[in-house]
Amino acid sequence: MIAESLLLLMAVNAAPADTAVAETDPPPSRLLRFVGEQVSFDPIDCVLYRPRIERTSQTPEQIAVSNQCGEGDLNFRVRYRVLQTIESELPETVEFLATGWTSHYAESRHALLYALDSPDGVVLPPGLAVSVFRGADGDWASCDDDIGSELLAFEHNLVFGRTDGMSPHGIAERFPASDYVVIGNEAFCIRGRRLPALAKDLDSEIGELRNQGYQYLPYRDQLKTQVGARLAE
Amino acid sequence: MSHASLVAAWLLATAPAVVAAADDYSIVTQRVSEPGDAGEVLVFVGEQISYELLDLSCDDCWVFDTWHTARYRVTEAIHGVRPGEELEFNVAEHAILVPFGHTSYALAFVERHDNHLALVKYQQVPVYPTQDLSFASCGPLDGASVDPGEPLNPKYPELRDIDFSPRLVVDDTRRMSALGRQKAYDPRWHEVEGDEIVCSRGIPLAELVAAKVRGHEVLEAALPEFAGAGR
Repeated sequence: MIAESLLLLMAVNAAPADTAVAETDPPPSRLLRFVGEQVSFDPIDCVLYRPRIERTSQTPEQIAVSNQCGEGDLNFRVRYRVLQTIESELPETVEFLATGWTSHYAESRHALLYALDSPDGVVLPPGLAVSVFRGADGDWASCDDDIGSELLAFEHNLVFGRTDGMSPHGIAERFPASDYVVIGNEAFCIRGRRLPALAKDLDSEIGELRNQGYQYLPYRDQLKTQVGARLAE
Repeated sequence: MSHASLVAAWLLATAPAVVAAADDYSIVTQRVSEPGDAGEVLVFVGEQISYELLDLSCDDCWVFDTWHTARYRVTEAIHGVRPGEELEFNVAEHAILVPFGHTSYALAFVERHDNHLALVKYQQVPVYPTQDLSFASCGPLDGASVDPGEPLNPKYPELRDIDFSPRLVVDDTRRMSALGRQKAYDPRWHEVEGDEIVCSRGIPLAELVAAKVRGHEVLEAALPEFAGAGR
């Protein structure tokens, strides 16, 4: 376990890949799929991370501008304690670099994360994480009404929002009765998606990212086998 | 007459709206008054009675903003209204962080053209009851979240300690990470009490009115007595 943690840490600290790799022979990489509890989310000097796009007619000045680090690049070093894995064994903690651009998941204590262990280090590709909360039955689930959602109860009467000062109209818009129960001034989520539905969603996102040119991501047919085997248990 | 023309004709007859013709469709948007042309402006804190979506959808036109018919009871009369009076007016809002209608009480600036009332576009502030039987905003006026390291907009009054009554709890931190708490909690106007984030600083009503009028050309022209001195 310690050795694996060290390896992951070394991968995070590694410089971005500078080796030329043939398209037909992608370097080894794997997705670290797990539910984790956030330990830290610290800003760092930005590291470029973006889809590989063929540049055709850019001037050196344009290339210099496009190489400036932006909000979509990697500007946080993040550490999570692993609570449940979806594939293979993982160390107790996983550290990766992430963008702050798609970081809504990071505002919750727990998240389902697809970190990519690749020649670029361990990174979180944009959009491959979602907030989750522990259900009363012990399963992890999101709080949303997307496709695949179902009625759920979350443990410890977790409060998802407050209605103090709100009008009935505001409460109905912010906390629709199909997704929340409001008792007193507390709103409790009652609808969400369990891990299999969430995984299916993130798998689709991986395909989108591949199409956009993000490197080292597995193909969807590879993922389907992995996800199906683990989540069916 | 097409559906779009009917909608446009209805709006022109009943609301301070503008219908701009494009090549093959019309744009429906609430008219923005020019300074001195706002009609009579009513100022009050109102309690929401109802807030109904006004459906202006049509085939050949694009309706800018989300339109509602609002009904409010005047709780604190400030200008042009009587306490307890009930008012019905149109609201056309767009891209507001805290949309009008989401709170039980609001400070509103409403303009009257003939017998039609409409919210002066975007001129509203959610307010909450206070211990001294008045109202105050929670936090700064801008609405938008501001980096705690950045100074607040100097054109607005300084935040004051406010005793909201009932207590104004804005969120519960148990589902949040440390980062989430950092984003939900702004020490300039929030306090953390146990698992709860509570609002404790804002702008009292009297200063809110002057701050909203000041610097808004239409309101300054219609309500010069409220513009007051700068901060």
